[in-house]
Amino acid sequence: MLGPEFSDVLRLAASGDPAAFGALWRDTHPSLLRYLRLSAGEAAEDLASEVWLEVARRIARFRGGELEFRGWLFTMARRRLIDQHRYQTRHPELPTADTDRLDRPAADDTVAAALEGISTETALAFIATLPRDQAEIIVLRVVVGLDAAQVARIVGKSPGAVRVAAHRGLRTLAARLAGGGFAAPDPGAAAPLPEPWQPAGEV
Amino acid sequence: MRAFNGSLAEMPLLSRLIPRRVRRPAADEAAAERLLAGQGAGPGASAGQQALELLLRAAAGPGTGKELSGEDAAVAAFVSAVTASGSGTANARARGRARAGKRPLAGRVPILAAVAAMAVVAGLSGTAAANALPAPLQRLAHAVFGAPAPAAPGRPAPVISASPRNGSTPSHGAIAGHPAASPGTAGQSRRSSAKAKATATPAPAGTASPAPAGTAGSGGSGNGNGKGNGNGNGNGNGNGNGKGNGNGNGKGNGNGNGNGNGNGNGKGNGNGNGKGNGKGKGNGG
Repeated sequence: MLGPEFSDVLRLAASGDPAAFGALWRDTHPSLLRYLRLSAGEAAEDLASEVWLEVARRIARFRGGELEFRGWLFTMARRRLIDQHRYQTRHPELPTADTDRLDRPAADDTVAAALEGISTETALAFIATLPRDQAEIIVLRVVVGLDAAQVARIVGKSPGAVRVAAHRGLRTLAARLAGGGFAAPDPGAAAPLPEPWQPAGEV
Repeated sequence: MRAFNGSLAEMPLLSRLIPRRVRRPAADEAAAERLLAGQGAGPGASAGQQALELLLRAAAGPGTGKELSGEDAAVAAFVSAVTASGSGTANARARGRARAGKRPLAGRVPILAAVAAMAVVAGLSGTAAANALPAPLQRLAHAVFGAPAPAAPGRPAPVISASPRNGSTPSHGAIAGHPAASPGTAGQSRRSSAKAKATATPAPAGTASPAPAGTAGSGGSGNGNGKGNGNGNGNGNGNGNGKGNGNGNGKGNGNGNGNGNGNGNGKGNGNGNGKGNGKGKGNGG
């Protein structure tokens, strides 16, 4: 998070300053990429590029603080994910190998690493085993740093529902860590994302 | 038979009836909120919570070199986007102004609103001057800019005093303050008698045109003024004018015109207006 200097950085970026835009990008891109990887996998890079292009085009009209900016950015990202999901539904691809599984560490490795100090990638892979809505909410809260109200606006749920889903996800993760079980992905993980609410950041 | 071990899991129905908060201490939710906010599990956290904290902290770790490797490309794309579409603040403002200029009514809304407001005010003023507004509004207009006051319900019409014209003598049948008595006009006279209690002086005999019944002459004219109503009275004079003027003026003026005809006004409006007018008595002629 940029903190107090965010407003200056945003103002400069809105006026077309590449350095200011770079500061915004460095601060936000890792969490954006992690969020997109939850659902889009290898397509996350491409989707992130599209999101940043949209930011570049519309940042001059954005008004708000740092949290609002993140909410705005991840609302756009989520719409990209929904669009991509629709496209894939219409143009299904059948992989010849289970590459998703190949990318993920084995269960025993994950549990052991969690107790020792795991890599970011491994931790995200572990979170990704949750049902998609729970994993998405946990990433938005923990990785992106949004509060329940912001997350609720992005995912189109009430703040209470967001809290419940997050708590359930944490309980499931804790149980899996304690039990050493690295369960197969929940069937709900393939469910499409619900439509988001209207973004509130842009004027 | 298996022995009951005291667990809620042994009693599914009871387990459902007990609120969830009782079964899951609030402390767990508070710890979960702390973990989600990146504040750690806190002192006294269980081993599971500590492991969870490690997991979440790893997930929220700083950007890796791989994740940040595309900065140059992203900044280049930003520069080209700004250059191509002019997405800087100044350019955005300029585009906004350009869009505003293209809109047909942009910038003219205040003028149109002022014109519309003036039209409304003018319309209301004219209506008030014609005494055609609803009574409350008419009273307001009367108080604000002197428009004619509305007639109070049941208020008698102003006195209509018809004076003879050209020195002619009044018709013999005219009795001040009395309704017309001609048979043919009795009904109308009753209907409108409440409006005008004019103290009409008889119309001059010379000017009175004969009433339809042929008796109108004197009696007719006398009544006509007196009541302000009656057509019937219509006595030669009164009627012809009374109607014509009464209506036309009743609204606008109230005065002068009505004259002669006290009748005309009295009918048309039933209001205050007619009243004032009787004065002129053009009739007498």
